[in-house]
Amino acid sequence: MAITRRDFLKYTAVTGAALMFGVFDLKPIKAYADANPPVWTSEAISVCGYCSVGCSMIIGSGTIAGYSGNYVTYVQGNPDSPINKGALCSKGHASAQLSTVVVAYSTWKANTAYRVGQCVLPATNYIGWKYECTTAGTSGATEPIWPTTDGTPITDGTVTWTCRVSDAGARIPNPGRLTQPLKRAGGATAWTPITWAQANSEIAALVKATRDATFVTTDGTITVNRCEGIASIGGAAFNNESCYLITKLMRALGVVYLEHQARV
Amino acid sequence: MTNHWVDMKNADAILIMGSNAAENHPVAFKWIMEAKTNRGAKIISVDPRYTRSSSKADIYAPMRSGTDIAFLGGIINYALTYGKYNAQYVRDCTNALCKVNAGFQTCRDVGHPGYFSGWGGTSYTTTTWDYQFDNAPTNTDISMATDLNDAACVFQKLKEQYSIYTPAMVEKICGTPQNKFLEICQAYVDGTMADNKSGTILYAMGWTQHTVGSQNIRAAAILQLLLGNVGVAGGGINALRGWHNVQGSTDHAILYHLITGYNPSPTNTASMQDLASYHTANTPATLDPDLGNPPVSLNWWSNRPRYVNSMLKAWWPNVDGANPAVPTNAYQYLPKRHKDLSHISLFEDMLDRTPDSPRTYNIDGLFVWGSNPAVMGPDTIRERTALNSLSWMVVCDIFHTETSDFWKYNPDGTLRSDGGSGQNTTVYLLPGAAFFEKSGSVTNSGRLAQWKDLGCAPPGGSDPAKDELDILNDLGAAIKLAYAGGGTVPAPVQNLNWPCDTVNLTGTLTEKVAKEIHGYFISGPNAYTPVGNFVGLATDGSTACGNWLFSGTYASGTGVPYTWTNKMASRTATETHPANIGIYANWGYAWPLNRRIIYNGASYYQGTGQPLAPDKWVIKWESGAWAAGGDVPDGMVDPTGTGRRYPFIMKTAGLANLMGIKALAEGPFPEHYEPKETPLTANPLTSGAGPLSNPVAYSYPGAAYAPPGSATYPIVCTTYRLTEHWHGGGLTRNLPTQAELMPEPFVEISEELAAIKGISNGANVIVSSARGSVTVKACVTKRFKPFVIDGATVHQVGMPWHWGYISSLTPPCTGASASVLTPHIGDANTRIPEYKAFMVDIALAP
Repeated sequence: MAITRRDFLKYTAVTGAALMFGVFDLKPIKAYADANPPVWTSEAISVCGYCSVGCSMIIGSGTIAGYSGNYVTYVQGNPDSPINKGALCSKGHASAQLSTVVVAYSTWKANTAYRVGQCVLPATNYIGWKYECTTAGTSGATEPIWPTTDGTPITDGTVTWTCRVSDAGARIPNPGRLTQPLKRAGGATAWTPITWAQANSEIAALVKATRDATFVTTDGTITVNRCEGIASIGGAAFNNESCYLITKLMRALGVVYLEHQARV
Repeated sequence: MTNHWVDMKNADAILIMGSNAAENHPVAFKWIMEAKTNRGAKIISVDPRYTRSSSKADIYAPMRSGTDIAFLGGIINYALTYGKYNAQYVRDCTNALCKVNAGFQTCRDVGHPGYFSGWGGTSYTTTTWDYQFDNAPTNTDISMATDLNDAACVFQKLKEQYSIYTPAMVEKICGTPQNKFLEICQAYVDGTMADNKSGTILYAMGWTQHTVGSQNIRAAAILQLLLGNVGVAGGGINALRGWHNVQGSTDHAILYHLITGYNPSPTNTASMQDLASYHTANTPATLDPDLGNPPVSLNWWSNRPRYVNSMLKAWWPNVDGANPAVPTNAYQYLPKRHKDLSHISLFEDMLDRTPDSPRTYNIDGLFVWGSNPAVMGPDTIRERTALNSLSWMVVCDIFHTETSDFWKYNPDGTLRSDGGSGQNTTVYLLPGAAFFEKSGSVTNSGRLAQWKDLGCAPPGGSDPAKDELDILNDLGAAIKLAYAGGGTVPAPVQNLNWPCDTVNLTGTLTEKVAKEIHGYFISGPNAYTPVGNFVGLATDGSTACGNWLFSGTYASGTGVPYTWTNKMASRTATETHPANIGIYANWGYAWPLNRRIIYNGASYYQGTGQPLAPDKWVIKWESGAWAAGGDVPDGMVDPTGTGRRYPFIMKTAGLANLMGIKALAEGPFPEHYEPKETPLTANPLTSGAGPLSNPVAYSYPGAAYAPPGSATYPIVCTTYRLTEHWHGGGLTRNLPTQAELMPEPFVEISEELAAIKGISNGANVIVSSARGSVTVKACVTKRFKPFVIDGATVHQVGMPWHWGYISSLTPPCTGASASVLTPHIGDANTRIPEYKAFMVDIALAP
């Protein structure tokens, strides 16, 4: 679910103290929960991709606003697993972020230019609402009186902020993910997106050229069929079937410099 | 692991050493705590630093990095001196009673302190590291002593070897107070030597990444065997492995010295010049402690030809004529290696552009499959420099990494002033899939293969990120196409069964490959039906099997023809073992043969089949059969009959090796040697008369090392991980919450060292070694304390190694790479780098 860790910590810390004195309003939390239904539409069983404990996971995926295709928006430990019994560690819990992240909110600042779509948290009197910039401009010298009703606008200098009860719309694909093959020719100073067809044919040509030029067929009278010019490292983050194909392909090419993360 | 994660709940004592499970395998720590809560198990943490695991331990003892053999040797000596070992287990299950070659001498021989017999000044002649035999010259029937007190037997040699590893010596070398050391001996040895008690040892890279890494594990194995802790529930030698499928990538032999299933890759020697020679050289002759009388030595590796031939038939099924045909020609398609080609050697060869014998050519092209050597490689600046010599590189990953983008940076991690225009490597960056964006199997540290269903497709548009299986499949097809018209020795490529037999095997591509790994018949009436498991594999070329260890993962039935059934996808979460020891036999599939505790033939009284520990039995013989619900017996038949077998079926003699027989380069027993870089100038164990550091570890000519006792680099340093980040950070330094939790690197230093150096908590400091220097924040902590080693104060510091210069976040989660400081030196057997003990200095940054 899209509530952030910081929100959660703030709510739980504040409500704990407030309930003791009977003064705190729980409505924002209920409103948050009401406005944030589960964000995944299908589930699959997977295994965590970090350490070797092999924690079973339930992977929640679905669409996200503004993007096509499905993304992972939620993970939890699989309670059926005899190994992890539903538990996950810090990294495991955060692993949905490999697919999608919730856009970070900055804290409101005076006399600052804001673009449409930027979101802020109040610098003072924060009680859980977010404010989205719906008219670009420059913020005023003093902080506005922030509304606490979803969708209510407030003018601040030349900026218009709109009160947002939830994180909806703030979840985006992890912007760091690679989504297309890239090439950097020797001496180039930037990456160029290329097609898979180009990548495969060019890499195959390089492999053939290097293999053909650095192939050793015999050591004395012994047939060795060894390609000394190509090395291959890594694979521990891949599935068994892919690891097997790395070994099979590299050995067929005659590669002897073959290593993965067992040593490093 | 011999055992598995859930099994830790069965232990009566847990020695965590060379690992920090609470930090690095946090969910598994649940089972350690369960042992403590339910069985009153004693948790013992031995570590240079007071770690998160230490905080949950009953006993914590500090120990200087790189002195594990001195510590373990001390425990072994305690057990032997006070007679606190499991005598019956030692006699029945280990080679303790085997008589040793008359010329063998331990490191305690006055003629060569610190060396075994056979030392020639630069290397060993290993002739004497052997048994005596009753049937010379065949030498298959080992001479056996009848009494452990026989001076000729292994047990007495072991006793002699460790006789000087006293508590005082442990304190002198390790810096561990004697009373703490003895407290651990009592808790672990006294607490687990009884038949019905067991102790487990949990280690990780803290033991392996040393110049004596292999011998660290041997020392642990010797201790576990003396206590009768191998093969039993709650026992074992348990490597807590790193990556979620590093077990699988090891099993599938992405390693220079192996082909699949732990068979050796061929070398360029006459002894492996053809398939018949290879089998002669690599199929061990069966040894027997009492030839002709029960028990029988099974010597499982005598099956090696079945496995190797079946792999060759899976790869090149049609190059030896009509099947079934022995894969004689296919064998010659396998490359024959000519030298050490492990990680460090690979990068040294990449750097060295003047090859000489036995190397003919330079490394010009490099594939990097989801790995980040520009952060994690030892002597990192040297390895980044080596990358610059490549003419092309292909990186497959899910984010930009320091390795993929190395051409923008100088080897020290600063941006190049020319933007990369003066750097000539052509680089391809292929977008792969996150772990939940692909279906297939992964193998955890307990050898358990679990199948993953597809969470969602990898992201992208018309040329999107892809499952690596598809990337490899397409790339392999393109390479085959490139060779369709010929090339240098094109046949191994042209004839490759790539990616598998897609006509006769059915299902998704991943399933088809998984079926090839499992194995099938390739000729006869049942062609293309699965073999039942590896027992059904043949040498005659009638079976194809990609990896014998996984044969059993994909079939069901009681006889030929078997049915394709993916047992790795089984998710029945019910405990199947009557004694509730956590077997869960129908959750995933563990190699071999779904056996959850290997060597479980050692879990009962030999000759009777009655369990050593009735309340946590693993397998037991009742009324002429194995009791229902037990683990899969490890090669065991009727344990009361004349065909009964010695329990350690993978060993040639069926007995576990207290003494290693020509196995490791340093000798048959572990001996304490200092790390390559050490604060000492003399080995306290032999008062300087013996070798200081590992005499057979290989030093690379061009690499930099601090001399012993260097005044320039007087502080011991080690590296480790944090729970919030993952290895080289290529994943987690792109995730907002993980970057927020642990934003930057630091060095942990003791309050005492901080006072001497005038360093306050949070100050910027420079940590330097003979390889380079890094600037990081100081974390002044009580977790490190100075050691007193051989009468002198020795300081130690430690650093996490997750950071580098690339991050997609704003602000970026970047910082100095600790591995820059680490040396290009490796274990004498495996050349795993010595990341865990090296020398540095530390100073306030100006």
